[in-house]
Amino acid sequence: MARIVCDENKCSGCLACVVACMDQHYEETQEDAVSLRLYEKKVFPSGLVRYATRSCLHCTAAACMEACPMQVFERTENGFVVAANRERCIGCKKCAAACPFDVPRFDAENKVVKCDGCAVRVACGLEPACVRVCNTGALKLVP
Amino acid sequence: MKTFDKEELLKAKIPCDETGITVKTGLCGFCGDACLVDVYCRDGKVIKVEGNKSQPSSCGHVCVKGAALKQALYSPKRLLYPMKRVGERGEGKFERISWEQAYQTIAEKLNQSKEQYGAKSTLFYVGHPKWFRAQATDLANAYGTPNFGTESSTCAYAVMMACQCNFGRTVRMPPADLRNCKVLCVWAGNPLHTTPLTRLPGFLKALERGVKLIVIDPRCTPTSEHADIHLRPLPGTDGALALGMARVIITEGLQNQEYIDKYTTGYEAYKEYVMEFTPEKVEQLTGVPKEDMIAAARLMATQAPCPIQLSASPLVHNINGVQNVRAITLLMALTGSFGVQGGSMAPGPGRAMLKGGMTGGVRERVHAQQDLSHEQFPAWAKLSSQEVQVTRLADYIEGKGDYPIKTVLAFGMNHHMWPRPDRIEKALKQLDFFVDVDLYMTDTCRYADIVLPSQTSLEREQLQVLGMDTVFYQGHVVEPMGEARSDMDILAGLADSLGLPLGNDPQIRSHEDYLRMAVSGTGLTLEEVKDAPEGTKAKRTLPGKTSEEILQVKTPSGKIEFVSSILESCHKPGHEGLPVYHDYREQLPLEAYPLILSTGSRKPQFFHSRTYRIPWLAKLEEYPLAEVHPKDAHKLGMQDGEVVILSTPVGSMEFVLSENSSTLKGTVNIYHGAGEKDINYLMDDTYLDPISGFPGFKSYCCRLQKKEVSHG
Repeated sequence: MARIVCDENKCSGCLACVVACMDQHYEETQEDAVSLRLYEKKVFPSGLVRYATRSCLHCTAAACMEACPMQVFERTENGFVVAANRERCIGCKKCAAACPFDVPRFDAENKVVKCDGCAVRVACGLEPACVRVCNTGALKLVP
Repeated sequence: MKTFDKEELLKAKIPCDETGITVKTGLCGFCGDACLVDVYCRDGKVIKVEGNKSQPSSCGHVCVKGAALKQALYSPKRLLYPMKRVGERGEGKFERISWEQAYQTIAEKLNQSKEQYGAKSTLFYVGHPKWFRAQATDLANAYGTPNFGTESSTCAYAVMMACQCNFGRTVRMPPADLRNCKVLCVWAGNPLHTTPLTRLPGFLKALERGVKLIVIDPRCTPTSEHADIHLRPLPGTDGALALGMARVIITEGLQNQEYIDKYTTGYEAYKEYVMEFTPEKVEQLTGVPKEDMIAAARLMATQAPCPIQLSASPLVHNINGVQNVRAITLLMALTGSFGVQGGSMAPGPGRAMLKGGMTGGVRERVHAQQDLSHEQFPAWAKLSSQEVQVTRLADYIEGKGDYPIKTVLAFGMNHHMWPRPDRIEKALKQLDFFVDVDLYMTDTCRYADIVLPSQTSLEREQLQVLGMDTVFYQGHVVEPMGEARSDMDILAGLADSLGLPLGNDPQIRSHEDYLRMAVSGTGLTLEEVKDAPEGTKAKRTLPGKTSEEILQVKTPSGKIEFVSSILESCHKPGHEGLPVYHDYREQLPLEAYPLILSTGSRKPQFFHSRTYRIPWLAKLEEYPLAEVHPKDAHKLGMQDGEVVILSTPVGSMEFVLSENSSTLKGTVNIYHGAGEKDINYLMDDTYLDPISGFPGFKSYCCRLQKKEVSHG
């Protein structure tokens, strides 16, 4: 399965990937945009506190797909699990409960938000927005 | 391969004929630098931004701020038309006027002010951006005031002053030879978060090839994670640390005596002075374990040349800042690291330069010796700046200088960058007349009589030298918003209304005139560079420099000065020729305010006050946070996320406490400039470095108290 991986030794926690993800997926007027890419504060052994970022693993057996009663999710030809039928989402959050990695998020309309791997970009020979922006080369696409 | 319908392609913003999305190359102007960006446009509108990869010198990325460029460009807070104030100062009530009305009023008021109070009672000011500083100085000169000032009054000029005392007038911020150094010392910097991306690849490549890295920073940062040695001095004690390292190097005979004998002066006095800084004393002053300090000194000297990479302002936001940076950079004289390959300010080929640019066009001012800071800060006047030190702006407006400032003509002024913005707000209300040119309706604009809208980097034509000698022309990536004009057109318009010339070599009447003049420095014409979207090789570059040429330094003695003759000639307290360490703590009431308050250390998403108005950036993390070490928080009975009262000798404000083990114990870190929550309200505006006039932002004092909880 295709996914985006992060080399923690290279990541600086600058969050460029998070904002690039919003730039890719939203209009600038959507001020409350929910990033498809996730970030959390992480404490390192040295004492360093910085953000660590992650996104969907696009699991082979995707628990979110199985849990969704509305068939919101589909797998793309290049292996990403995407919310292709997002308009159907009823905000039941069964996908979030099923996901072992706490990936699905919900926007102000209570509709699911999750990484789509920039599947169309990748199919067109471009990198996902987060990989493209990564300042330190920490993010890589594993096809 | 799967084919996609138009809707899918549009949603994914795929540039192609079907979507009508095109990619234009432009320059991001978010911070002081200008990274080359790919701007995705559709129907004349920016829909997405990426780093550009087309040039050998472009890194292919944008930083977190650049990723939000379209939100900065289309912000509802953009100024779109000239406006005049109709409410009280500070109230923010304005009414649209025409450019002609604006110019006419400004010209009348400026001429009236000159007649009534003399030209010097008008301050010309440039904040961000900086590219038209030389021409703003030209206008100030033509008008007749020596009071031209910039935001560099709290930014990089104090570091430049220190470097110029040591290494002569031609040096600004000596760059590290990242390609060739074996050991690199990053002193008070975090390049992984703050180096403009045009320069980040050089640092990453140095890490990749295994350079030995010394990081000196009170905080843990992503950069310090890569360090072989990370020293964590208490903020502001860096001078003592540097002198202690010098003592280790000299007592162990690791100095480069041949270099010292040939290129420096004052070594014996310096050697005698540094002997005071024993490892025990330095450990006590800085909090750095002496074994670590000694190890860093040995690594630096035995693997020399060792460049010391500085950042613009953290070290000089201290009341002994210039002397501390002198002590630090003199380590490069001691180890023979300045002006040599693998060191700092290394020899190499010359770059192409635009004419009349920010760095190449510092102008002599008229009646410079009459500017308001001349008497108080003589070293400032003798060294790099060619401008008035404006940190005491409130005092100058209130008539506490030799004469009062009555009128201010400002471009991009942000009064939140100085201590006590409340005092500045009060002072701005007293002005006879105040013009502010900006991209946005800022807190400062609200005090202006007239505000004028300027253009972002994507709305104006620009020139930039990429790499060593590629001249890049950027056309209008998007049409200007509303009636916004380029800062240069505004300067030209103002000059015209005042009946004054703008520049004389040649005279500038428009932004295009400026471009023609700027490109002439490279031996090319505007037509030549316009025709080449991929960039044009310059026909003229500055001559390259050999080590011997660099080491013929432009100090008064012609040698690198361990004892600064310029500082000695000032005959003022604190202006010792030796890089003397004065401990700032002696001036602070630490019994009542036991924590060291350090403000403004960069976070990737912030750029002074600018990005607080960009929702995607402002919402990444709550702000402003008072960051303290968890152990300090627990000692005070405080918890992460709690609202606490922070007090300094100036006053008290509430902040959200953030437990953060990156913070050195005993210190509090807060990012500045957050409007009404700006920590600078609590910074003493008389707490200044006597040499540079810089505020002690990075090492002041405070205490934290729990908020009274009401019971019942």
